[in-house]
Amino acid sequence: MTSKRLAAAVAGGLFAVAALAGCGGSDDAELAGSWDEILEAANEEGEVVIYGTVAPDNLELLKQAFEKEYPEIELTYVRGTDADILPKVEIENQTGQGTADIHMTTDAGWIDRSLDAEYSVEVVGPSFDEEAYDRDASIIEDKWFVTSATVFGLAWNTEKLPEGLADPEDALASELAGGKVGVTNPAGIPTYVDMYRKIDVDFGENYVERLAEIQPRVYDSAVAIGQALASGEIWATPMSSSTVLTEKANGAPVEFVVPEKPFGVPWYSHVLSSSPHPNAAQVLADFLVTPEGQAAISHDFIACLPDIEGTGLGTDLQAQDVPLGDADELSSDAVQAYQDEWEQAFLG
Amino acid sequence: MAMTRPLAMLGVDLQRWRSRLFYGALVVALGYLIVMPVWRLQTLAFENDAAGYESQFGRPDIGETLRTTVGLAIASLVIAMVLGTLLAYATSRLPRRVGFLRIIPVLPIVMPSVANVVGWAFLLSPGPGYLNALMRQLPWWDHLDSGPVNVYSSTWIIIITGFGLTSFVYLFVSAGMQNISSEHLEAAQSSGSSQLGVFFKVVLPLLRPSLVYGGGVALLLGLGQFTGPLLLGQNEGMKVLTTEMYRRTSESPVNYAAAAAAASPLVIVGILVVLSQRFLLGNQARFVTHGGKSFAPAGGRSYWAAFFVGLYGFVALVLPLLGVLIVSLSPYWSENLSWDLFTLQNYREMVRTPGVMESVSTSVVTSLAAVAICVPVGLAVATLVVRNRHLTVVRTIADVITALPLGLPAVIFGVGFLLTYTQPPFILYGTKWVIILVYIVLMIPFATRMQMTALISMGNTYSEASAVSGASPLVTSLRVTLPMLKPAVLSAVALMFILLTHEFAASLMVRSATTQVMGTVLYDHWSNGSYTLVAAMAILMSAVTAAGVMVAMLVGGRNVLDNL
Amino acid sequence: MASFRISGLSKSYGSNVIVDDLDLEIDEGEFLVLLGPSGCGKTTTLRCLAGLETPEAGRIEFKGQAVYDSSARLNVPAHKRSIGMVFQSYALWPNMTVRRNIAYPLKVRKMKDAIAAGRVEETAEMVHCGHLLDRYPSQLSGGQQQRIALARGLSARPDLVLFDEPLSNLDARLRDQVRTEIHRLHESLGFGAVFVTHDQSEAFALGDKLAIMRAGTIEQLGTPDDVYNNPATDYVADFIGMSNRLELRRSATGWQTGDGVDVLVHRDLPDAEAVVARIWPEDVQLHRGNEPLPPHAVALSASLLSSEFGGRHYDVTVAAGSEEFRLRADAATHGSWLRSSTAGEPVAISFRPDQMQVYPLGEVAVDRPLVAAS
Repeated sequence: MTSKRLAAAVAGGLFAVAALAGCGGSDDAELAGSWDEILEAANEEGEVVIYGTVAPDNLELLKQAFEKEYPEIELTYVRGTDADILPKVEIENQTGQGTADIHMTTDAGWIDRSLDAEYSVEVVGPSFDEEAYDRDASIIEDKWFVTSATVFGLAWNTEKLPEGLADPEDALASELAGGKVGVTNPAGIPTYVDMYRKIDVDFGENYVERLAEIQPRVYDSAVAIGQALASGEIWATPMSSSTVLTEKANGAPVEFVVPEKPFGVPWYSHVLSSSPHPNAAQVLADFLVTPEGQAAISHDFIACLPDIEGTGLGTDLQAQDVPLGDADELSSDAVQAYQDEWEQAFLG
Repeated sequence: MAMTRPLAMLGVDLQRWRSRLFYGALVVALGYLIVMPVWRLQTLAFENDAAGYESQFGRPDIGETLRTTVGLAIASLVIAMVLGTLLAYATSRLPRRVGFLRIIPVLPIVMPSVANVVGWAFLLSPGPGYLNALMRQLPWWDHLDSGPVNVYSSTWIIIITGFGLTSFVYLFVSAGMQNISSEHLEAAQSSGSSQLGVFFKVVLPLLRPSLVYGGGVALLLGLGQFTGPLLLGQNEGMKVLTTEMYRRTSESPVNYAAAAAAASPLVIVGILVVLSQRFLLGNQARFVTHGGKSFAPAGGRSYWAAFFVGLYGFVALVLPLLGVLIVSLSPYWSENLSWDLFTLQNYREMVRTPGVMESVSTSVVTSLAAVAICVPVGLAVATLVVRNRHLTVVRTIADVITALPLGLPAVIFGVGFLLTYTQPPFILYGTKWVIILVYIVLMIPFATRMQMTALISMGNTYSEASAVSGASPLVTSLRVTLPMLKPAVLSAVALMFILLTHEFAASLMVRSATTQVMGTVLYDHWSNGSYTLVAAMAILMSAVTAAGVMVAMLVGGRNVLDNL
Repeated sequence: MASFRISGLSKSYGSNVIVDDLDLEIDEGEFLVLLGPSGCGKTTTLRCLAGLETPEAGRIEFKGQAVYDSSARLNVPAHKRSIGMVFQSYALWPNMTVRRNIAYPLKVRKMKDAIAAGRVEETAEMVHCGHLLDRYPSQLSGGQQQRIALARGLSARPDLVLFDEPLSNLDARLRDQVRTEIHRLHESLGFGAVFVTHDQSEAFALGDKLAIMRAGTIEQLGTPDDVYNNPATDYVADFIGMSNRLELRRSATGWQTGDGVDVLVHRDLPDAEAVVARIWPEDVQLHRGNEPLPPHAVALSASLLSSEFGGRHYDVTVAAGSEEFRLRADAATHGSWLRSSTAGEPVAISFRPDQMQVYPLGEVAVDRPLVAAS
């Protein structure tokens, strides 16, 4: 009897939850007509959210550049691996409770599958039609647009390993055995599966098998490897993201070189159909392929436009030159099979 | 008289039915909240000819995973039992002057488990771990360039997990220890037993019930361990069932069925333990001593006890905190330390990092909301179980349901909630509500048990005295019952707030990209390798918790934590 | 006129019948004591009166108004009955001061005028606790707490005050003091009272009327004098402390003990083959082995078991045949030899036949009650 009233209040609370659930979700925002109307509607929406696997520093640069260009729109970015982000995109699509407006990934298999599943809307911004962007080579089915690209390279801690790495073979040196080399775990990240397959050929015969034999330390992402290199937790890696150059610029004792036959992968982005800010999403998509956007998102990566300062990693490459993986080889089953095989070799 | 009679009669029946209806509704709501997600998850595992089981238990490494899970649980249980029992004995023998040390074994509960785990990583990472670097100065290890300890190895994950479970074992054992009067010990000592002899011949046998109970709880906690294996185990591929569940939900597409299958063994063990506790212990009321005489602690004179408790505090609390603190003040994590490198840059960075401050407010808001709902619901359940013995069926169900979340790992509820609340009828994904709801579920056992104990030890007489004084039930509860329960409620609030602001496992499952709590943001930065930021966040988390504890102490007096 | 009436009251827990078709009346201003061993249903009866327990059958009337009636399915909750209650464990609310404890019944019954008129202070004075008003219960001794509890039970001047073994948590000296206080308060305030106890001395001291209960029914209802001098049954006699017991068999001439001593029985018991006699310890005389025995008395030879000094008297236990007798020996008469006596010394005891109460043997207390010593 004592607590009946209080508990009644609780029951009320639970009802409130139920009510909230019933009417949850965003009010259905719609895409405006002309580009000017879209810009206006985007300002009204006032915010935009991007999910990306690109380095957090680049997303921060993008935020600053975008908010400078569009001061009325606040950009929120969420950085994670494909393993973090893809399930979230799927759940948002399934529930209609969108958070993200733009999603950026390197997963060729997922991009291919998404085309059948109404994940994306067509991009409408004018910058996609700029000559420098080369629409035909850059956009898949008017939805996925190439945004940037990265190549993985050799990197080392200059204090621990002053002589450095010249060749992928150097990373297999016996003095680095037993946890001084870092590798990424391909679990949930098909791009890494693709990478392992490629370097197994390009870095030398049975490279992956021999890499497994020196018992490297395993990390969840290339970004984490960069940090581990900087801290001296590992000494070297044959599969560093070019973002360690950013660490180097910050004063970390690291060095990075692109090997002879590098593995590269392009980032593609799309505007999500579950986007709660469809106009701002189009504006951000457009911004991504402008020179200002590229200078931010492709900093220390490979840009999708020519002649962007701070991009290109000292090469003439453009993101369009880096091929997307073969979707057939990156089907869920194939990826799963390779991951099992990989775990046997590296963690078994 | 003719008028009052039928009216009063109606009143009696209405009242009886109202209480029946109310408690029925309460139990249904709790059932939906607690049992439904687990049920939906488990049925999913059986769908499509048990495809989930095939996918999870068909993995080549499943044998290894199961072995690791059980091994981690048992080995860490042994560590926790030994340490927890010794600590409980030592605190009972503390010299009076250092009696304040009694609080130490409980303090690790106040430290966020993620902070604790990353603290150990900072200390014992084979490369730049500070303790390893120190140990490499020793003559017999000076040839090493990494190690000697590898915190990422399963041995050390087990040791750290065992350390984490020690506080829980301690809580149970020291509660049992309260019931051993100092006369028992002194009688044994005066008949010639040594300290050690007293411990093995008198204390341990008397403690058996609480050891069995505490051990059961610690075993469940060990089986459900998540933070340590996830944060430390990834580098060497350590897999347990809970981390497998997490991996299955971070695949594309999300493989709920396999995650559910991985959860099954844990669900079965959890339910078995909860039910057998109910059978073995029967009525909770029997185990609560009814006020009156309590055994005053002996106030021993054992300085070894003070040393042992102090050492434990240093190792379990000060060391990891120190590790975190040093990294948080360093420009980057490296074994080479120097004073002039120390900087507050990481904290400035942290404040600027998007999502961090939002996560603090999300953590605090969701925790407070969950606590605010848990307290009255827990009181209602406690009242149902303690004061409404005539509602036999309903109160038994309520009793078991509210004990269930203690038996199942938080990860299972996390996955269950992710599954349940991303589908109609309640799509709450991406809102704070799903976090609040899962927090409510996780805390219901604490809210219920603590208030139940208080209600039982309070007895019926106080409210009866109020009734015969002419006070209606409402007035009685407002003026007598609630004020008298205040200390217990405040303790429960403090405990729940601490546990919730630390919450990691379930939050990691139900969070969305922009609705994050402190623990999950910390994890994201850990995955990205932003160690200095992680360290600053761990300090921030500890600070938020400490602030909560201090508020609780201001409101409820200094002994709020004693009631744990 | 009966002010409070219980009729046909029944209550059981499962198959365990606690109160069995009980009838009871309490007159206005009357002090009724329910006396009996634990488990006899006295507390349950009290709690049914208070409304804290719901009976299964019967009817309870307060001043002509039914507060419980099973046939009409009427049950007035406790807070709507004009009662006060004093609990064994005091049940003072620890979160309130003494003043607020005493004022509580007035406040919740909205008796603002009484508070304003100083009822709280007045009631506290009555129990000699006027100086404790601003303390908290935890700062008081047990006796003080029970006095405050008494004041709280009385402050609203209820029609009926219920006492649930209020003295049993107090030590012996305090118990006597508080007992006297309750007696005095009842004399001056004239409330109706029901007092539950298992202590016969409390019952005799306080009750206008005693109801001795056994297994949910009333074994005897009467004034203390009535009960003391004429216990209705062997059970009652045993319970109120008439502890000496002597079994008698019918002989050719009348009745005799197991040892063949003839005993004159005044009560007419035509059908019984064996009877049991009860004698108060105070009524038994002790004689040294060689002393002449008084005429017309029942005299039994016995041997001394023990003697305990009690001030003006000795509490002596002797064995007479297979029975044990307890008696009070005057210290002036017997002190000198008792001090130097040893166990086993031959003695004799005697008592007047009219001091015996005789009951048929068949009703010997099957469930010999546990008389708590406290």
